[in-house]
Amino acid sequence: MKGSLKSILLLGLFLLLSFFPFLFPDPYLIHLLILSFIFSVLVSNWNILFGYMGIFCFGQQAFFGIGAYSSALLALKLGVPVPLSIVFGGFVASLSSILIGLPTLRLQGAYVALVTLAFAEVMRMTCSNWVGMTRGQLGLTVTALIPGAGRVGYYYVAFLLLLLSTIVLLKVMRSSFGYVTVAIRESQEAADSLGINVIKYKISAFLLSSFMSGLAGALYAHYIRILTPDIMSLHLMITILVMGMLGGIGTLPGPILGTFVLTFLSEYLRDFAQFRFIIYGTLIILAVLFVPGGLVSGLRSVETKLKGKRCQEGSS
Amino acid sequence: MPILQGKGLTKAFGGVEAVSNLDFSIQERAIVGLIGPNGAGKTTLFNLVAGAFRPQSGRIRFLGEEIQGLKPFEICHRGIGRTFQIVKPFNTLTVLENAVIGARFGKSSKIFDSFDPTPIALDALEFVGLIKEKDLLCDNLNMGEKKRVELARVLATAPKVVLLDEVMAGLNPVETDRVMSLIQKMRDEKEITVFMIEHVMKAVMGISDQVFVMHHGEKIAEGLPEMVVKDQAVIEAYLGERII
Repeated sequence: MKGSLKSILLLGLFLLLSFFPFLFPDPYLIHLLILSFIFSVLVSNWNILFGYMGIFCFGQQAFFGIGAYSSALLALKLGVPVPLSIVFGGFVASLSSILIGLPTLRLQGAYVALVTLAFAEVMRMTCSNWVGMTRGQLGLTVTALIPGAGRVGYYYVAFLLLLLSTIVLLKVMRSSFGYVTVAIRESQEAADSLGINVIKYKISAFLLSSFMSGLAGALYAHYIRILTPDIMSLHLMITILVMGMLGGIGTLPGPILGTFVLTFLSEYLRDFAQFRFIIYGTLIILAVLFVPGGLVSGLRSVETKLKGKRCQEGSS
Repeated sequence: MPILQGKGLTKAFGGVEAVSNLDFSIQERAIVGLIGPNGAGKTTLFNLVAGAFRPQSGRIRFLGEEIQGLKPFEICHRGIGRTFQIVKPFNTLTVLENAVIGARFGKSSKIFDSFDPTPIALDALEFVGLIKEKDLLCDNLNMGEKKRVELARVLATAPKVVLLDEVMAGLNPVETDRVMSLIQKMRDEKEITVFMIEHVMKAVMGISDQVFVMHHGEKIAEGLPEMVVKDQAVIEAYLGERII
């Protein structure tokens, strides 16, 4: 009964999002949804590393930025068709994750955070100073996805990307890979002693997570069409962190929920733009204090409470 | 021929030799106890055998093949399972999922594999008597149950030898008896060789066929349990030298 209610709600949401641009042709709302889709992909895939595997990756913005720059440059300099260059952007991000994944394999906890953060900063500085290639802080003017593509076109591509990413994550996390990620988070030693090749699984998680993040970054670049090294700034990482923590890390719907809430919230808080990070910080603190599992766990506990009440009413 | 054998094993941390030029050999289907005062190097020896540490020198042979220097997961695939002194269950997974991990990865770490590990996992839970608790999260179990989850997980990897690091520590007498008979059943029904570190003397004396005693990284005695506890060197290691 409960399961069917949930699937009806999900189906409704899916249909609503599928026809949204026709039902509500408001360009501003569509824009916010496109951003939500793209960042949902980014945060969900960061969540594989941080939430499921317990790898303190604070360099996800680098994968996003590397995907963005590779795709933008390919399309711009070599004239590669954009859909192809986006996929290529994903692969370059994936390759770069080996670079960052390997040195972190033998590290634990905070050290992983430091190394990944440093990696992202190095990437940002490289893009910033390699003016001949990236035009540095002046920024690149990025090719459109398809010449003349409108907002609605981007909407559907971004929506598809989120669907793709969610389906892949569902499949992966419900397979034995999902168990492994949790096992590694809970105790790497125990996982190792039970026959799990921890290094192989960590690298695979890095490859998948960075590939998807790279795709998201590339799509973002071709949508916003202006690309500066700021895409890899620490601000983005903090935003990812807030979105994830707010929604609930270590769950599949959490990062998506958190991303949507925060994207819309921050747009409506635009008047307080200079206080944005103060608000973010407060949100993290509040989330950690009152709903440590994020909004998803909050919703779940409300759900169980409601169910409890219903049972009581039924019995009395 | 012994199933598991170590020769000249040495492992030092800084200047301290936790295991020092140690030899041991374990016969197939034996239950062998490993005792010794705290800091004697017992757990270090287990970590050497299980691949968590690499010995600085010496060789370990398992079923006739040298295994020193292999990674823990490779040692598991070969057929040596272990439990931990401080239990390390996967707390946010259910009891069954814990056992499934052992069954799924015990013999291969492939990412894509079509076989269904659940029946093996259920068998292992049945064996340790946790079938009713299979859908509980490990977090909600008591110490005795957590220890049995670790046993089930190891059994699901289908080991030939298990290294048990103080499985009975912290258990009440009823649970201790239960685990003791479980260990005997593992040997009798599953033909598993058991190598166990144990401080609970009732268990050591009750079920081991042979006992090794370690002190300062060296083996100071070995033999039948009742012989070993009368050994002068052993008594000195535990209680100090007699002064009168």
